[in-house]
Amino acid sequence: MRQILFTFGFCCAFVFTTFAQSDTLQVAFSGEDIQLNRALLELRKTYSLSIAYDNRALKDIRVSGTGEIISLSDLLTKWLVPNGYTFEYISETYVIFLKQALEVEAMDPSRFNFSLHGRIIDQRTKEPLPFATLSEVQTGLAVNSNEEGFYTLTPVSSDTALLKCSYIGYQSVELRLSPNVDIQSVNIEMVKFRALLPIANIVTELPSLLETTSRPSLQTLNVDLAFKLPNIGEADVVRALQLLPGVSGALENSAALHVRGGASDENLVLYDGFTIYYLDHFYGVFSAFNANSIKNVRLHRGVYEPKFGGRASSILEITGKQGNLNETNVKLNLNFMSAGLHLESPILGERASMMLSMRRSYTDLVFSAPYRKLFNGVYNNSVLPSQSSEVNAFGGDEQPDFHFYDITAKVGFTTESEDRFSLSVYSGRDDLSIGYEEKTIDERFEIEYNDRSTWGNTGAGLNWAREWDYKHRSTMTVGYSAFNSELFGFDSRSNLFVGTIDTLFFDRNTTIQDFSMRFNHDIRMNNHVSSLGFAYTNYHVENGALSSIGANSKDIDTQVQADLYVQDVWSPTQKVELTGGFRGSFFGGTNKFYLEPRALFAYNLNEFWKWNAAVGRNHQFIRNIRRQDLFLNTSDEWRLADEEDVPVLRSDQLSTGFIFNKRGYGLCVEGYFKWNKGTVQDALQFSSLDPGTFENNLVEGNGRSRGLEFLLSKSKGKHSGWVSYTLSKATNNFDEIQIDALPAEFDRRNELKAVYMFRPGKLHFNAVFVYASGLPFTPAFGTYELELINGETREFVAFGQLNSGRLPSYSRLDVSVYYDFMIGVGNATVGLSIYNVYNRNNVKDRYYFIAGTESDDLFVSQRDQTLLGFLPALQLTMEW
Amino acid sequence: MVRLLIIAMLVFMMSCEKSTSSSETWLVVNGVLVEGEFPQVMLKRPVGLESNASGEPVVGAKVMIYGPDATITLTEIEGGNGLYSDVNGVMPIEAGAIYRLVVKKGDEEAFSATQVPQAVALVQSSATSIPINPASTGQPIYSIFWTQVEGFTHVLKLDIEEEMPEIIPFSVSSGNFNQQYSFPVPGQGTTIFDTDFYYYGAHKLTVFSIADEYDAIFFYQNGAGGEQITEGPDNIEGGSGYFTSASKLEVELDIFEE
Repeated sequence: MRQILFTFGFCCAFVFTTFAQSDTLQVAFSGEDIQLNRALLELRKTYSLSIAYDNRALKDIRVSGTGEIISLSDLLTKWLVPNGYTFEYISETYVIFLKQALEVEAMDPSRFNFSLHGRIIDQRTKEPLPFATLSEVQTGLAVNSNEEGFYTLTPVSSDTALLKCSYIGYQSVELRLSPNVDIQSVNIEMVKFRALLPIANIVTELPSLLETTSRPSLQTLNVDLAFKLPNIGEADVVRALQLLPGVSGALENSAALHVRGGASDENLVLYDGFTIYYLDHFYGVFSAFNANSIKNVRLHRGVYEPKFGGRASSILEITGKQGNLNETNVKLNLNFMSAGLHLESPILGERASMMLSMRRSYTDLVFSAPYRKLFNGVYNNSVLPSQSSEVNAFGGDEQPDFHFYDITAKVGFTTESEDRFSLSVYSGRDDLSIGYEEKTIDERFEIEYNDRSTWGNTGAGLNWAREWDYKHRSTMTVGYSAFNSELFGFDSRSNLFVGTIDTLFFDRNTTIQDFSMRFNHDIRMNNHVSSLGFAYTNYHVENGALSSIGANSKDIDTQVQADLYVQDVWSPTQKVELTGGFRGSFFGGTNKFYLEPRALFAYNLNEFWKWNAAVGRNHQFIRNIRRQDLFLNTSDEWRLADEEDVPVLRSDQLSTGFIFNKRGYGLCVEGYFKWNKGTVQDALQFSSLDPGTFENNLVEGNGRSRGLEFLLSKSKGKHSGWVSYTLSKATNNFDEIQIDALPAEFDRRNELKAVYMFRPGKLHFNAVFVYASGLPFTPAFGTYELELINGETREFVAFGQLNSGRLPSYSRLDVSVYYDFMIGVGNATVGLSIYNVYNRNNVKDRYYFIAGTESDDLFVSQRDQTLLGFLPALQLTMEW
Repeated sequence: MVRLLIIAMLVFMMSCEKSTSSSETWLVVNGVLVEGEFPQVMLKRPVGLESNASGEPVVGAKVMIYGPDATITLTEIEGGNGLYSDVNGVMPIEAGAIYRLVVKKGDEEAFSATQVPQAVALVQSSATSIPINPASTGQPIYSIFWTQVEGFTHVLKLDIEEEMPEIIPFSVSSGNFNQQYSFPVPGQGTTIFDTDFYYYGAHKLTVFSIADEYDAIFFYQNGAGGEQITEGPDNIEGGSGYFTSASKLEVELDIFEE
């Protein structure tokens, strides 16, 4: 197979505004057969020069110098030009880059309206680039590469057409076909921004954090830039996603993606094909994903392709890095809580690679001041507010023993027959042991708590992909995923008035396991790409409670889900793309078959404007219900739908919007409607009959959600970022407790988010501002007495309607500054993030408890659970 | 672009969401319709969370009851502390009938409905005069059985009918009736102990057969030991409390020294 390699230079993408080369500087260099990157480093140090270059790319070039005095320009020309490189003098920096390798002279075309096939890969690591965009400049025809980087662009107008390839975080490349190109195998190598210019003063085009596609509600995140956003010590892709319109960013919980008013369990998180059920470390402060291990993140909101299914609100599709096929890379991360190691390396020549990424907190060994503050804040927000005062977890003799870790590994292998296999493994866990004492407000009881809580996800996915020919492609994933959470407590309560001691132990756990298999086959015919496939999932759920005071229970449920789908992406003209299809699901829990028709439409109005619309139905058979009566991480309980206590959630959705992009400025406006049937909520406040029975607390109803999302972005230049605004309303009807429509649990009327990134050179300044309306809560506003028929008088607490109250509005400002520098031949970044700069006490939830009784009068107190306050965090990253 | 931003800002500013519930606009209803009696409903407001004051009565409300044959508007009793009553006696409560309540006070509205239990009848009363030995430490002294409609429970109430009753000088804790019968009696009869009584003299024992929805309130307990609390059981739409019903059986008992 003949492979034509297209490389590229800066000139097609960068427009330098400053161009003033200095020819006057005289230098001398002496050395024999020195690595070019070493030689440049020597010049930088000796003459205090600013030189930007790709360290790895230049280390294989050997240069020599006699020590004669020569102009720097001449010396660089002598070294670079014979090796295919050149340089520019930009803003007092010598920027070294690869020359355009393939300049095709204008030739007469010989082939017309043909299909172009190939693969898009990273130039340095040879990793495939999933979902990169390749387009024909003249016609606007565009296509995305698949998970393995393969693409088919059809029909290309001629074999001298000008193509443009872009991928988030990478330098865009323009390339012109030539009549002698093998159109069956045009492989395109792309260069990452950071690899190309580790220390350059970049003047114009820069990678953007976010890419909006022409398809409805689909956005791609630049994982590398997510590292630069303000954070709490760990780069976090889930937090970055929370800055998108339509995704709530005001919960400060990385485990919680709330998309268009939906609950967090309405999002399917797929990591290399297997499900991750719980996204957090440290009670939601960090997401469970190590950003180092992630290649691509795509969020499909609302109506998505029939290929996907199983959740009502969104699909979060995460593709892990496959590993560097060229060389070994090592990356180290350090912050005030944890340390991480990332390793990529080729194995078995160029046919296989591996990636290993792991991190562990050292919070069980070192209690830094920021960690103590963070822990107390997080722990108090996670404990059921049984008392009015906040707990200082470090105030007693015993210090809390907490740590988390996660390991992500992936091995990719390509056989000689071009079967591609990859095995991905993920394991993450949190472990907390804590003991402390406290007294009740009336000083009647002294309570000693000894709790241990563990939770985590483990999963593995074996993926196979094969391009049979340029029309047929098959993929298969066999996956296993398990989430387990357990809380064990041994508490004692001393009654100081009468001298008695009660002891209590309890053990609550929830487990969900799934074994899944997915098969997909794509067929390309003319302007159609058809897909058909099936999926099989076996769920096993256990919810158990064991207690010394009874109420022991263990619910075990095992069910199967089988899905079959067919879809077609049809491009009747180069301006129109229509995706339609059906997904049918059988779920054993209800023994019923469910059909999901979906259609997505995209139309390019002109070069700058695109219009899209989508309509479809989603079903969800597995639910995670936020419990009101428990504490720590066990407040969530997974349940399989059974049509008795937990209904199947059906979501009908409609959305439409337009996208504008011109010269780095973008505007995206989208409106949506959702009609949900089978919403469910724990309404503990209204379940006074038998509060110990979880099922009795559940209320079932219907929901409606509608909203308007705006995204205004600037992606080019030193100043970039976006402003997103979402106006939305989500309501539920629960006939059991209310007739009127009630605000949904995660209804936020307004949410405004602004992201600002300023990159003057080696420094990165970033700021994030979030404002959101308060979440609904159920207010208790008073007490009342009733005289019963037997003459007794009882006192009760009066609650308003479910979710009829509003917590105070939410806002916070985060800032960060990062500095890139070199350590020897390696790159390093040091950063400072400040979370919640103005230390606003944002309220997460409001609870009520009985503070005491006196003369038969109830004293009810309220307590606000507040979110994280001012928190600075230092980070260091080194990479070789 | 600028126009779009201006529109977005205007929408943003007009779209604030506020809390809708407060103690000043919340109705607490207490109305128990008793077979053979005339309807009465008490309307009050809740008090603040950490207040020990009594609830303010709701005055000037319109309280309507839709019965099987007629609809009446209850009259507010002057100085009645929020009590509304059928002062003209036009709607005696009938066993088995359905009654609906509508309360209007300005923009506030509350609704409820109840079905009166079937009449409860005496099957057997072991005595009408009960001798009591003050030296007793507690033994069964009286039993009563009544007709029961399946699914309904019964609540007992004991009233002393003497103006200046004489206390029975038990040497053990006595007068336990209210404590023993603070919960509904599930069966169709019960046995009362001698130490459940506190006074000598004429008593009235009332057995109420209560409507389904009313049963829960006797079992309700507020969160104790700092646990999160729950709303009291109620059947009022747009408020709290109860609009419920009961049929009753009354037995006269004479308690005297053995």
